[in-house]
Amino acid sequence: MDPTIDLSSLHALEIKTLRAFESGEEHELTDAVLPEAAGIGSGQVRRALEWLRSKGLLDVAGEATVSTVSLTESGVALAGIGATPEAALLLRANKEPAPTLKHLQADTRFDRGEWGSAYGGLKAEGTIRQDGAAIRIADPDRAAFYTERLVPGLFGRFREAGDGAALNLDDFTEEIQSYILERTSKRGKGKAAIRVDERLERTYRLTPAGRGTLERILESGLTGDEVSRLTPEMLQSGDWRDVSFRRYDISIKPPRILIGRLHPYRAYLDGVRRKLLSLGFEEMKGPLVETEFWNMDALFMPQFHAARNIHDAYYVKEPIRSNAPEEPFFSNVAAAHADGGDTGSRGWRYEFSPARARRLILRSQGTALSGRTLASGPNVPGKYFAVARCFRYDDVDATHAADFFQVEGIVLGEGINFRSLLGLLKLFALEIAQSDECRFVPDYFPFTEPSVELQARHPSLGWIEFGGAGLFRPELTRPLGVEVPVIAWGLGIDRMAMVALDIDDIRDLFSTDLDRIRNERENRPAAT
Amino acid sequence: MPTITVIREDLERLAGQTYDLPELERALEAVKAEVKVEDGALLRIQLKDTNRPDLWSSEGVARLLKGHREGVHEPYGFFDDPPGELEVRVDPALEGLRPYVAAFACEGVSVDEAALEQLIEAQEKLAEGYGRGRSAVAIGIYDASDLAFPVRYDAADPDATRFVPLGMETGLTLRDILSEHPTGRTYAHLLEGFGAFPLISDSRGEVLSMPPVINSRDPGAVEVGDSFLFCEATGTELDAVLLSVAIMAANMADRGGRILPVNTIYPYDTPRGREIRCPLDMTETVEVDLDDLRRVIGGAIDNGSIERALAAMGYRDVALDRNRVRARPAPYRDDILHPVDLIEDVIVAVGFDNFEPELPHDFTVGKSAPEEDLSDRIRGLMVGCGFQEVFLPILSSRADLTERVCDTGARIVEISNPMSENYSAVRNALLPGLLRVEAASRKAPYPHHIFEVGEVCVIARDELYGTRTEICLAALEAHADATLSGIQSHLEALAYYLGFDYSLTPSEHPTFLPGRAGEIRLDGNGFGIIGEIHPEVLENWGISVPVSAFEVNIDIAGTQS
Repeated sequence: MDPTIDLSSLHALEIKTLRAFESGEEHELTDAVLPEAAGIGSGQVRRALEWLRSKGLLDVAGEATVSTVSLTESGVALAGIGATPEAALLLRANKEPAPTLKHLQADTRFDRGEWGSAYGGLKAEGTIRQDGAAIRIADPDRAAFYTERLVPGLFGRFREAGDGAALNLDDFTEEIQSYILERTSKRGKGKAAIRVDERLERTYRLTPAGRGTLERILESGLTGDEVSRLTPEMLQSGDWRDVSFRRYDISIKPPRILIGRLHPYRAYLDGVRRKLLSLGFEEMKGPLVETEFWNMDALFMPQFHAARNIHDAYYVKEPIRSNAPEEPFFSNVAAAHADGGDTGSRGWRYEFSPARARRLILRSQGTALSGRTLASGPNVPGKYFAVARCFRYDDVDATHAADFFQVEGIVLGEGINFRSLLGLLKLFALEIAQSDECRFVPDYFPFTEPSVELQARHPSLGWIEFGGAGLFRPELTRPLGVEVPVIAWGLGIDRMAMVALDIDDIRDLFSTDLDRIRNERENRPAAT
Repeated sequence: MPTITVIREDLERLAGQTYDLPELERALEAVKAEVKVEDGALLRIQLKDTNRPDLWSSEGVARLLKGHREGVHEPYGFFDDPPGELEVRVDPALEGLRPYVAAFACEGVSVDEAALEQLIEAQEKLAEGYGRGRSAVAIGIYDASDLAFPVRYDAADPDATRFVPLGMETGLTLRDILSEHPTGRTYAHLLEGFGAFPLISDSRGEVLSMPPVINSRDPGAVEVGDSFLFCEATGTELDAVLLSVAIMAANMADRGGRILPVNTIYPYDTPRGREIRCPLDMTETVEVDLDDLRRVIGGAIDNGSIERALAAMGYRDVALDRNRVRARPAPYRDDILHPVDLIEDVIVAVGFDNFEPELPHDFTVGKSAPEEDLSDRIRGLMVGCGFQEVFLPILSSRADLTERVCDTGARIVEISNPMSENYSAVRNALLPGLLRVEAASRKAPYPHHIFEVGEVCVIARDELYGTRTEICLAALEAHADATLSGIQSHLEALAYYLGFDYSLTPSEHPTFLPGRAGEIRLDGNGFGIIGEIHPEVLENWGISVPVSAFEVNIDIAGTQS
């Protein structure tokens, strides 16, 4: 154990117990005397001894079985009278005329039975003899034991120590010891005046470390009476001036409390949202249940497109379709699909099905919100974004969650072109992926031309595909009433979130395990 | 997105260049292609452009790699050759069944193992992807050395006609092939309801195939060493059939074949007449205003650069004047719908690295959605109440949303094609999710205080979509002393700070203990529910501590504040 133990780590009871050893010879004390020496209760001593032993400040020097003597109820009564029937009998027998048993029994300090057994006992051991009816002393020395030595030597001790005390048997004179043992073993329990118990007594001794600690306690003047808490009463009375406060061991950490807290993944998305707001983007919201129209048709994805079969989106069981086509957009989009309408395109050259367009699905891409925004008379110039929950027909596994987020948006204005598209993506790489290096690679989306994949060099991941973007096709914008060029962009945010949150199974982003959620540390902010 | 298997050495031979992997990956960017797997001599390459089936083969990828590198493409002059003598004759009965066919022959091609594998790969990708599972287009390739022209495309009696299908030893009727041959079973649905089945045979009556299902075993099966091939495509969309044949012809020409045109003679009208010479160049001249081009690319570009770019991307007949550029796409392409498609080709050919990024300079004001602002305020208050936020999937199951909360009457939005029962319904409330967290968190030290703010979807017949997306808040506490008044004190705090003045009326909501639940009302309208969760519900979830909870629609709670 560390001999230079921090004094502030010691409890008040430990300090008091240690200080008690100052009085002990060779720094040894028995547990019997410790409560008194330390000035604390025996239970407190027991706890303090245990702590001090575990700190290596003291150890057990020896153990012994000790017999202790205590007064029973009738013993306490005798002590109160200040005499035993034997002593009273013998004192009377010393005087003339010699008493008879009858004379004695007239003395009501003791009852007839007590006189009787005193007489019987003394006679049997030969201290008295019968002279006709009279009782005479036969053994004056033994008689003197009862009349002079027993009461002060036994009851007198209890008067000093208190009626309830337990005294060490060995501390009595030999004749009293044999008196005690004889009385406690022969008499019935109820009648006996004294009781003898055996118990294990331990002797404790300070270790060298304990002695060093004691010295330092004495030097620093610690008494264990330092106050542990500042109370309102002390402040009101001003008593705080007169007390000293126990020093704390500030190296001990308390348990972590359970706090109210935002969810780490949602907080990450909050950060992305804040960043986009700070870049001048306006937030878009829309329904979870979408029509195929807004989710696909309005985005110039032909109805025969491979990504539109039953295995790519979730279809709503009931109701099946929206209540009505949304005009003029349905007609405009149908024309753009069929032959280009007035968009300058030749179109996809097929017959557009309005019934199919009204089919209800769960939103499968955030771009649906961008289409809706274009159709709702957006600001020009304008910048919009959405953090949109999306749904795809996929097996749920470590890389596919039941539903997922897309961060998507648009930028529209007269001056929008391919170079401003690249500029915007470069800005995203810097501001959101914290990457000052990025690359642009040709890509394909049915709704943008030209289309760009954004690769960013992430500080910990290396080169990653961070987003996809492009200029919306005129076949998309014109039917929705927009005449200016529009940048459409989307960012792969879940992978970034998984890195920031140190998660490798995407399902853990939506964990139902409260322990896990509570223990998830704060991530590095997404976009600062 | 289609993914093709390519033999690396074959690809490099076709492209006229060897690449190490990083070089190849870089070069493939202009093709919008990515190496997904490298497996020794084989590469798995994903093609991102779903509208360019001409790239879905090693020939197609190599063609663009080579053209882009050298700045010039093969002219594929066979598209302009005069009609030959080879013919396919079409049975009138096919008009209502599978009306279109196109074909060509190819001589002098040396079919080695690589070529054979890649021809089959191209044929399959075209038919499965572009041809939508062979329904719009199916393709057959045959050894033509024993073929007797004209080839016939007939509607045959499915019970009276028989041949030995590929992979079998004995002849079967056409109808039996659909039930007895594995490939027949796979594609049988494409002939459903047909009184007669499409059949391709030569003039002697030797059956070549029953499109779009299976080829015949004997005559015509292509083998290594063949050099004279016949290729046909049948389908329901004429231009798709013609484009598939054009792509296959270009692929075979790239392997050194000489393409022999085949005339298709229809007894009925088609969008391109009754006699169509294949392979057919269907491309039209694209005209692009140079101002539009500059507007899209965001700056000036000289005519020479445009010309070089278009040549590198395979355009023909490029003509430029002061105001416009005219060009015809390569004959195997059908993806130029709008001038922007040509403009993108110019940008890709010039190279993205050669365009200087420029920040959009318009000033715009950032603005968050009001419902998100309200959500954030509420989330802050709930955290202040000491609640841990949870964030759960919106997809759930009918059992979680109804039976497990003893609310079997709840009407929910369900998915008609769920992938799994666990994610087959859209949550109509947040509370079931919180109970799911409770059920999974018995080991987490109590007390539990959790909440979620998020979207739910409810049935709403009179809405345009018959449904409505709402934003709700649900909060739950679980511990030995959880009570109504305990959870309500948090609702009180919310109501106080948000400034809405709710009242409770007794509710018999089956999720809650009778007599200990209330409907939360505002101006006489219910907008939430609060109470102690019914022990039966707790038992359903395996939760063994008392739980009290509330849920409110914050759209409504928020309108007062």
